[in-house]
Amino acid sequence: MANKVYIIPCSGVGKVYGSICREATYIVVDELAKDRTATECLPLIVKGKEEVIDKIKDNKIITLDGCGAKCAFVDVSQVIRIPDASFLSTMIIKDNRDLKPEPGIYPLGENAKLLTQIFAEQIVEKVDELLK
Amino acid sequence: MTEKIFVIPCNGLDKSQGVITREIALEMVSTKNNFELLCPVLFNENPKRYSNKLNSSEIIVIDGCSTRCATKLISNNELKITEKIVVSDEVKKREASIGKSLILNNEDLKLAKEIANEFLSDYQKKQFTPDEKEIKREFEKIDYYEFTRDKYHFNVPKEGYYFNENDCWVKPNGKKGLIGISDYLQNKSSDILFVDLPEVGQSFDQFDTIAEFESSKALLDLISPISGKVIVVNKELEDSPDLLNTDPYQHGWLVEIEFTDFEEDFELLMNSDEYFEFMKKKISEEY
Amino acid sequence: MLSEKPKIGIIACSGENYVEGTITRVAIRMVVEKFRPFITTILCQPLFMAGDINHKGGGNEREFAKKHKTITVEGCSESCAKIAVERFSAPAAATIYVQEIMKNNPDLKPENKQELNDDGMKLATILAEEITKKVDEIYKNQ
Repeated sequence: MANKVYIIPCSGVGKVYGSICREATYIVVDELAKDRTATECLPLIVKGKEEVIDKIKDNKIITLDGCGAKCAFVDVSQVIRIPDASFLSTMIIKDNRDLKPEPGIYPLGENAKLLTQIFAEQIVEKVDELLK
Repeated sequence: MTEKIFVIPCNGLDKSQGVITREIALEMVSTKNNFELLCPVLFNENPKRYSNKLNSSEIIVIDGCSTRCATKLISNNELKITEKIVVSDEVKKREASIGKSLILNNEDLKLAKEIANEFLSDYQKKQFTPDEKEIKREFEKIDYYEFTRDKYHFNVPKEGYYFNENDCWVKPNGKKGLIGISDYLQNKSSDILFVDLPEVGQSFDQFDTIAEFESSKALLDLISPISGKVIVVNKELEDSPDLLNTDPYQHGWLVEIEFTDFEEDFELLMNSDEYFEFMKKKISEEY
Repeated sequence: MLSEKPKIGIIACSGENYVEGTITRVAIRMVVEKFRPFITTILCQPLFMAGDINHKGGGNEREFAKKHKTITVEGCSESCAKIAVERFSAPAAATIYVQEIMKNNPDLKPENKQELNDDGMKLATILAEEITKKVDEIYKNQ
């Protein structure tokens, strides 16, 4: 039985939304839900590192993607299985239009940080839902 | 609109929902002159007799429950259903209850009338507000001119599209046409997050700003390649603005416009060959 | 200044597990945006691995890496970016390891993979300079 939820961000470097996924992961895994979540490197999953895949596969998985290419979702689906939930960080902006993020990927601007926090909280809700 | 619209209730006899479908259908045909009731049993007996008429008409099916007999009857005869009502869903939606008896009580009859009238009201709105999401448009496969620069790939349809220098296109179809942005422009914009569409009925001159869209990088204008009046807007873009990125020449269309003076405006547009060269030159300077 | 020769692709591991992953991200942006903006381009590692899905704006990372020289920047010895480039496109022209940079700068102690401290930023800058040297070398020899 799953006792953890693995959060796998795309960590894309092309756009700020990739950074938002990455940072939201850290907030969830290191702060908001640290007892019940973990993360692993997407590149290691794609590389096929068995120890990493074995750790993840019997747990719940949430992927976070920064653009419509949905790389984390596609990669995890191909290597392990279809994630139990997936998020697109660009969707956050729809309900928060006034927080359009600054384009830089590092460091995140003020709006981007606020969006990241909102995003992280939504992810935690899903984590708790999956673990019920 | 005076074309006939056929209403087909499932007319199920083993549950009260089935009986209610008949009442809904009767309410509709008594309210609207151009609505005609079609008996599903008769249709099933001789579908060919009705197929010609049904092929060129709108069809509304009313099912009592999730078995959806009326829907299946029409679909199995390869006819297109315009609208569907499912009584069990309507009851759930209203948090109502219906009797179990096959003889309807006053409450059941009232519910049937309510469902019918609500449907007719929504249906009427759709007829007069063409900016609402329409039946999904079908598009044919496009042949493209293709150009790659570094890791970016740009497409231009080989035929049927005309472009202005602001990288917006018009695809004429008689006296009207669709308008959108080119692959080059969506590439340059990056992920498009919001689209602000014009109102239906608004008139534009060539080179006016007809719509705005906001990406993660910038706020951009769609400069109209043509003058005319907006007759339909692509409401799907409000929920899925990324269509502009993923399918800029087809499902990412922004508005449909009725032309004011296409011939005159056309002189200032580029065909695909011309735009392709124009685009390549721009890319070479920028990338 | 426009690129007269083919651009060079830079792909960072961008892994999440260690601070080195964050350092690679920051360093490659410095190279592409500040140090050598006209002759380099970033290849997005997740997009590269996912394989050029038909998403407009995603680019053709793998095709690019087949026809252009690439530099991979690794956060650890797993060498994910190098392996991915070799598997899906062509061997990288160069690979740079953050750990080498850190070995040569033992006084700099990066902490906090979420937000680099001063030492982390210094390491990112040193790494960016190393990458830039490599870019210049490869570009010149094209």
